[in-house]
Amino acid sequence: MLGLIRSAGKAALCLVLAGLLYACGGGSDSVVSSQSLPTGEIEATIEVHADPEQGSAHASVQLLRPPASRDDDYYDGDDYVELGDGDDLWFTTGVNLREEVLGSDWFEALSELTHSQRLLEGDYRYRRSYIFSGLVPERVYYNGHLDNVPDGARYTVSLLRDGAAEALESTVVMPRAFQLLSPLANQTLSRSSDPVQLEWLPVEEGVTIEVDVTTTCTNNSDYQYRTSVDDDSGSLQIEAGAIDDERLLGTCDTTLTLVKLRAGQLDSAYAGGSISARQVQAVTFTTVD
Amino acid sequence: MSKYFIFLSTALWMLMAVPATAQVELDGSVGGSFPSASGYESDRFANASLGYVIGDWVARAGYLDVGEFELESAPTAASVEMSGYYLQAVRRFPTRVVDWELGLGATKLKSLARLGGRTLGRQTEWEPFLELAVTKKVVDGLFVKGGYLYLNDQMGSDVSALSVGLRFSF
Repeated sequence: MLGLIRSAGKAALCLVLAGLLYACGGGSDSVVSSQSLPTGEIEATIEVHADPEQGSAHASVQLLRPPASRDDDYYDGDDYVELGDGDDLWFTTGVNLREEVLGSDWFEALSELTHSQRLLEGDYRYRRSYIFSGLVPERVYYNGHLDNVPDGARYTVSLLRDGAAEALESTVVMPRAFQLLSPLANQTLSRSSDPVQLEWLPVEEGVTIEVDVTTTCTNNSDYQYRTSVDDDSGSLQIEAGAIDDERLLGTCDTTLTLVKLRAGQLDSAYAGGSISARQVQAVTFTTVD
Repeated sequence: MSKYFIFLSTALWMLMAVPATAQVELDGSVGGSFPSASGYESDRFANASLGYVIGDWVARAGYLDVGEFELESAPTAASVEMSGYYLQAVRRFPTRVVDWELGLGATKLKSLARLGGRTLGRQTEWEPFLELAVTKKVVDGLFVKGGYLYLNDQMGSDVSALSVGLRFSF
């Protein structure tokens, strides 16, 4: 009898929560096929990340059908687009695949193209996690990487479609590889009284600087500080106390990640979205109270 | 569809036009084909033909499935595929044990280049090929056949094929 009452209580609680969710307009995300969708009804978020140590670059693309209304009161979840037969995404440092010419030696040309053109594959989970990313985790996205890419390369991501308008020219230039000169890995700073002085080389025009400072202590407390500036001057100072928090105690590991971000030009065939390229450097140093 | 019709019509016409003294041969063989381009895998090979024998000469019409050669260890799948109908003139050199054959043919070779499932290149051209074969009689009207076929510089690679098969002669 007692069990029955408990079960009824749980059911009632679930009903109340469901009702609250509905009243708040909380919907669930869904997946739609690209096959019935014109390119002009697809938004694209395209991110290219450099890995200077490996000499490679990684592209991640998420496609979304924008809601009919952006009114938050009636938000009913997002429609993530899964590519159907005849639709695929390509990532290259060269020209888009439609403009590739094989010449007379197809065998050699194909062999070279497999290094310069990469078919992006669909997945539901990030293989990597990126800070400052606009991609939504655990939702269908497409990814792939290119090896042996030159520093500061121009990347093109193309949506090829059979029987629908294509979006061949979404392009972005990767910020050049840089070196983080300060802070140093063996440095110890006070979170409350020392400013954090950042210095890096080389500087570059047309990039945004984003900084993430995450401190993790032995008592499992952590604190994250973020800032960004629109121009790359080669230095930035974080004021004393900015990375401190009352939960942080004693000697802690602090990881500073500096991201150089450049926005690119998204193909106009899309309904909207963005393409960006990121060059990242990180250093972990010690902080004390 | 029309090219299949023309091919079949020609074959039937050859059959009906055979004089009583002449012979008709049906050949079928399978094997492996090997591109000279480095980094590409070999593939299966198939050859089917109908021959018209006049003395030591054979006029043959057939179909070659040369194969689809895939690039090894490629991060994005890449391949070149070739196949086509052909006409061939063959000179036969009989010996006491086996018959040797040397043939020169021309195939209307259809070539396709694929990358990641997309067809990047498509070409159909008449191309010459060379064939060396040896046949051995098993019983009246039935032969076993071994052959070597060579295509020179097809889209950047030479292609060799080794095959074994059967021949019916009537």
